[in-house]
Amino acid sequence: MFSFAAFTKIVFAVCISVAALVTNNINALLLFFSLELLVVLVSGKLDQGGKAILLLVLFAALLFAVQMFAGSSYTIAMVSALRMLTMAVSILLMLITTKTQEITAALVKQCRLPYQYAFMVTAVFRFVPDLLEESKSVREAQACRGYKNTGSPLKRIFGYMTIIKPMVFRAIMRSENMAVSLEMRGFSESKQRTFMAETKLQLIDYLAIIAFIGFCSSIIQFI
Amino acid sequence: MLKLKDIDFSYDRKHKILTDISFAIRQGEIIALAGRNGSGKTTLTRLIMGLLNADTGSIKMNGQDVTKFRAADMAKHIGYVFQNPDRQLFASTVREEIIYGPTQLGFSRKEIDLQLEAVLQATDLVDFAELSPQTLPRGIKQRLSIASALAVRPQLLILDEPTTGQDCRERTKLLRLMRKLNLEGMTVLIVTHDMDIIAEHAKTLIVLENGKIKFNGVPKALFANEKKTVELGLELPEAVRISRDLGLDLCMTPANIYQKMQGRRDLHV
Repeated sequence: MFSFAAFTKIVFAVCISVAALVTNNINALLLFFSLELLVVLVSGKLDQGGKAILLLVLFAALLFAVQMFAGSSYTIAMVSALRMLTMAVSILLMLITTKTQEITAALVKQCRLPYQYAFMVTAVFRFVPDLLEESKSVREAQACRGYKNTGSPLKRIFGYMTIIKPMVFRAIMRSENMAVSLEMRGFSESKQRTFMAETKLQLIDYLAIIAFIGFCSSIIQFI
Repeated sequence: MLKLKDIDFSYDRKHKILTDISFAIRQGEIIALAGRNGSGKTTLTRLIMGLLNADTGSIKMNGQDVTKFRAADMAKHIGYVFQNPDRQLFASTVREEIIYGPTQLGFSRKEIDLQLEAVLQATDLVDFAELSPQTLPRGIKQRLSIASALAVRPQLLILDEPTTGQDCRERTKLLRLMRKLNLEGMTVLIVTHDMDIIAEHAKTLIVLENGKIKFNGVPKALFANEKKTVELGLELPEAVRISRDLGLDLCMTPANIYQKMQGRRDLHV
């Protein structure tokens, strides 16, 4: 996975996501998910992605339960849950195996996306760990003053609400600081920009893209 | 009052951040924690507060084993002031920020009102009570952090580098407040890189290096040995340096130097 270019990994993620949207077949979705798990194992990123995947599986189970509770059929509930899981894991897989600078460079150079939009996409991904860090710091500050998030699940969910307001406020402050910092270092619409990340596709990338598109199409077609 | 014995800690069970940490904090003293960046000072204070749990060893507070206590359990005993006040403040107004702790710990309404007034007065924040903490200058935010920690009437106050980024006036105000609290009986553990603060205020100094205690004693005993002080990544306080250059006995504060000069005719200006 590491030897593929960022663009190839973007194509993988898009292919799986499109295939998951198109198909309504549980077996096909299970196959995609299994393939993703296999890639996580092979790429040695289980430490980084394992916890997130587990959370996504739990969320998928919750989604399945809610759908069943709302009166959907078993197939529809299962397909919705697996679809969400497959798409989310494909994006996660791309993120944990690729540097954000490489993704930005690939989006600008190969996908021809304007730099501002490409930067926005990667900045969003970059903000996820920042937000998690912010939520941790708010929870710690509250715990240091005696706050315990215990009790019934409903009470605990409401407990988490108390961190949202300060988190949003801090996220806005952080984004404002980031905007100023970017401008001060020359962030503009100028096309004269040097990308340090290597984005050139190798023969193996072309072969992998063709093979993967063929693989996804045949699964949708034949399963 | 607080006793740590044979504490080991690592984030990943492989690389030890703290090794074999044992010391005691006595009621009513100011104890300073110093050492190079990354030596484990903040990790140690987080362990005491219950934000982290030790791999081995024990922590006792007033004889009670609190090793496995979490931060919310320790909050009624310890007030923790983070290095960066922005990490600590989350409420909409200064008033709400201060009363958050007492409400969580079940103080009565009357107690909360009394405590709020007392803390606002003590930290000189009366005029800011209805303002948003996020809009305040850093110095006032730091005082608010201390106020919010004091509101639960803790026995021990932990200050993690409280003077970092403060202007002269705010620094003096903070140190005066710390001194006043200590005179009223509060035990203070201060993490600092400022040797002048240590020399002037701390009764005991603990120096960490690579997660191990390299010195635990009276600050004067360390500063008398310049070589060891430098080896531990610290500097001599100004007063110590000046008194040495003037050939006086070791002085820990400018007031000490002045006193010693009184008896030296050759140093009179």
